[in-house]
Amino acid sequence: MSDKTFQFEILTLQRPLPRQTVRFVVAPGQEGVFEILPDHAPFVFALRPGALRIHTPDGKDSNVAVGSGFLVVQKARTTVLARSAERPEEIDVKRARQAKERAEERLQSRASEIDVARAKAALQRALARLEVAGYFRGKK
Amino acid sequence: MPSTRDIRRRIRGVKNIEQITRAMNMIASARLRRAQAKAESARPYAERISEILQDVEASCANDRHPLLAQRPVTRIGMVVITSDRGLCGAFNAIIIREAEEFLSKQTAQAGLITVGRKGHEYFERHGATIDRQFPQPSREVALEEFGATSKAVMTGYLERRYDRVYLAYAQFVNAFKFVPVVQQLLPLEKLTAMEKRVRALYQFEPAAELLLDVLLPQYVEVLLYRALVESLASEQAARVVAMNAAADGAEEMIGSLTRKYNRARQASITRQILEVMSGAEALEHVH
Repeated sequence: MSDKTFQFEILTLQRPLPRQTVRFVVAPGQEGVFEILPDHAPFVFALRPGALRIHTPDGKDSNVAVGSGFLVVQKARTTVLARSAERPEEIDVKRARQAKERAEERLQSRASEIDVARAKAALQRALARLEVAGYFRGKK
Repeated sequence: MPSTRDIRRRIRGVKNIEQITRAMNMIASARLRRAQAKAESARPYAERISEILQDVEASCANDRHPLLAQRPVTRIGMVVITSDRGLCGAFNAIIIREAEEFLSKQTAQAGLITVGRKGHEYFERHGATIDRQFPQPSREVALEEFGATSKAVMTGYLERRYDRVYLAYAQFVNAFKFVPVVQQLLPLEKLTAMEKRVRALYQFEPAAELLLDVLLPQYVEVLLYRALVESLASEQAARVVAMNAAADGAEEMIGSLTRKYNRARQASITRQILEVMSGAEALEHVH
């Protein structure tokens, strides 16, 4: 693999996450997971809630659970502008699990008054958090 | 004339008030600093999002997004941001007055979306139409707390309950000053007109028109968040000033009460001495 890197940052309303130098990023796009490598053409992608994987030059991978939003590739840097962004250590697994169960219940109830889109989005967010927190790792 | 004991009791009471107001002053100034920091850390996100939004919008064909569509105005909506709590001077009254003044100049019907208890109470008492009411978000101003407000605004607009939505809130200037403002929220004013700059050429996924569905609601959230955080900062600043004045007032009162107490004490001592002296004199006459 080449040694090329690029600047990567994640911004949310609440706070910016520190800017990093990275080798590549794997992001959950609305139309499927995609990878951003150095020298990518300028691009704007819509993101769905999911796990974002960041690979740094030291060979380490780190995950961030992002909410919906988008990713912008520019010449100087690549930026994620998301509704939320949490690192594994910041995730409340218990809360995420409860949110997941609640969303699943709501989707299964098939009651007419539920907002399906909202429940689905909540489920996606909960799954993203659980994935990043490593909740599924032990279960596979 | 009140007895010295009464005056002492009052002094103690006022001293308590002074301590409480000083404590509230300190809490409010700590919260003010936090709110300012919050506004600061949202800035990069807000700036980038409006920048990208301009680029994406410019790339859209003639297709106007519904959140940008201008319509003839028959009914307007207004989000009024006040606080849940009082003891912040004229903070809420100033925003309410600004909102009312604005509404009185409108020919269209108006429905209110109130954020914060104080505004809601006022408008309910005065018979305004309140479509939705939300509590003031906590000091965290988390998306979970105000997401419903932003959603209510957008669906209200998309479902044509409002042809235009305004936002009334306190714009934070500095720790001693805030300005009540009424700002148009929807339809979003054409961003491309806002600033001229060289536009980057992007590819989009999905297409630019569909990206706007993600971007515009996120941008509305930014505007609302900014208003909420600035209101919070202004509220805390108003509270700092109000509590400062209250504590100073209490201090002054303690001063005058202490003088009164000393006078009363002196008077009673003088009286006692006089009593003893006239007693002694009376005895002398007997002998």
